[in-house]
Amino acid sequence: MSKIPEELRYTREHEWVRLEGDVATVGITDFAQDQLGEVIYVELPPAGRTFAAGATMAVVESVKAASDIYAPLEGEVLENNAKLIEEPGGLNRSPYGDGWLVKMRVANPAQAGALLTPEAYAAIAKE
Amino acid sequence: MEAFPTVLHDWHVAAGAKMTTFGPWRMPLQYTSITAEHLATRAAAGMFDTCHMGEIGLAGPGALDTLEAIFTRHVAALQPGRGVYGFLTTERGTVVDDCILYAMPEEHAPPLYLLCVNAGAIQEDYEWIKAHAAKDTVVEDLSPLTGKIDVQGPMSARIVAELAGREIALKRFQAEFLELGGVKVMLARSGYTGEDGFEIFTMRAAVVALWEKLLAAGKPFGLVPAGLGARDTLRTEACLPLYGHELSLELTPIEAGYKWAVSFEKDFLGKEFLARQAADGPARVSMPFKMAGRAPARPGYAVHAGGRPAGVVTSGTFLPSLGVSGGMCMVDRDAAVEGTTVTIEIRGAHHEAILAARPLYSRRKA
Repeated sequence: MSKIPEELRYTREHEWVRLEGDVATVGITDFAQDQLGEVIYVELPPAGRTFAAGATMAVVESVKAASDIYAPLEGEVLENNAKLIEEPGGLNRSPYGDGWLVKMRVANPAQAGALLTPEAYAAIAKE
Repeated sequence: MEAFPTVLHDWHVAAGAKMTTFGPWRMPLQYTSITAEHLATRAAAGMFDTCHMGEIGLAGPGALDTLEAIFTRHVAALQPGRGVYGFLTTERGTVVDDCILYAMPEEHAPPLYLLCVNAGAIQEDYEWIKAHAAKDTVVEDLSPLTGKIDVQGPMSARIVAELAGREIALKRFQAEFLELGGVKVMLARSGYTGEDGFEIFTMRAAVVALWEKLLAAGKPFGLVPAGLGARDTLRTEACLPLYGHELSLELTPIEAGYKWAVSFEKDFLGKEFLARQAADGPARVSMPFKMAGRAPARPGYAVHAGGRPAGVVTSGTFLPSLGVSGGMCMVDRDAAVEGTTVTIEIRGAHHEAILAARPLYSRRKA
């Protein structure tokens, strides 16, 4: 079973969100990294870029394929994970820790209510 | 669409393989990781379920004439117990399929010839051969009866010898009948990874037993089961063409860089076109490339040279033995210069790549 931490919120596209005030840290789930296999490249948006919820925001590439990553909430990128760009394998080792993708300032934190609870995501993260 | 399991399907699932769909087949993508299985094959040995591939037998007095007329290699020169890599081509010289043709080892009853073909092309190939068959040729699709396991890597000869109970004297592209751990097989020293290795043909019903015997015999030598993921990275590094990528009904063996696998000393379907193309030089050719940065270029991405569109990526991935991303592209002849820098368009941005000599990886000769 893949890990689904209690304190996070999730999307149907296998992203996780840690919301602290109006700052959201975003990554992809343990299930997603396992499905992708070894991550060899990540393309992350620079600080200052803004995205609508559901817009393509980043790309994660494994040996076999490229996968689009969508903005879970509307907002502006504050920082991307520069260390992960240098060492993409961190995403496989620590999807909820060192493998985070971006931090963003969320336009409307109340939108987070539409994200999935760990229980709801667990029902999706099955083969 | 329904996906067919191979006879090893349940074994793969029980071993924890990630399964994937490949054409109409359900196949293992990886058991542990693509890179680990790739590197194990290069360092020791990897074992691949290739039961999805096709085997077409040709027998009867017309078999030789049939093959000479549709296969790009000189078939009459093929001694029993030998195989050659070549192509079934159309009148326009484009590729119906790439295959290995074996003249069966002498002691064997018909079929006289066995054509090992791509999984996705079995029916098309069978119909193509039937449609072009000379009088008195028996063509039979043996795929439903046949299974195949590939053991590839520098340790593979020792592993097979262990099960055979004797040394294996076969040279590259030679084949013989023998028993491996009590299972009757046709053992061929060939494969598609850029390593020494074997393609092992047996009856479908014997495949699972043979797979387990090979794995047990091979474990001390470092043999691991390897999936389609590693199979693709291994063949891409070795710059071996894959049907649907470097070869197709729109591409010729000359464009793919396989003039050496076309015999111009005999007549066959497509020869005139290919001879002219070889003499004039094809307008586009397959070239290996390595990315300057990390981003992998995938099939279908546009290649630019001197600021102009010059071709397209046909195979592209991370190459574990080289530690970089790379692959093969089909580019205009003018642009196909080894050592030059081109750019490949990845999601709208131009990334530098270097056109390289083929193959990108070649094994150290023992």
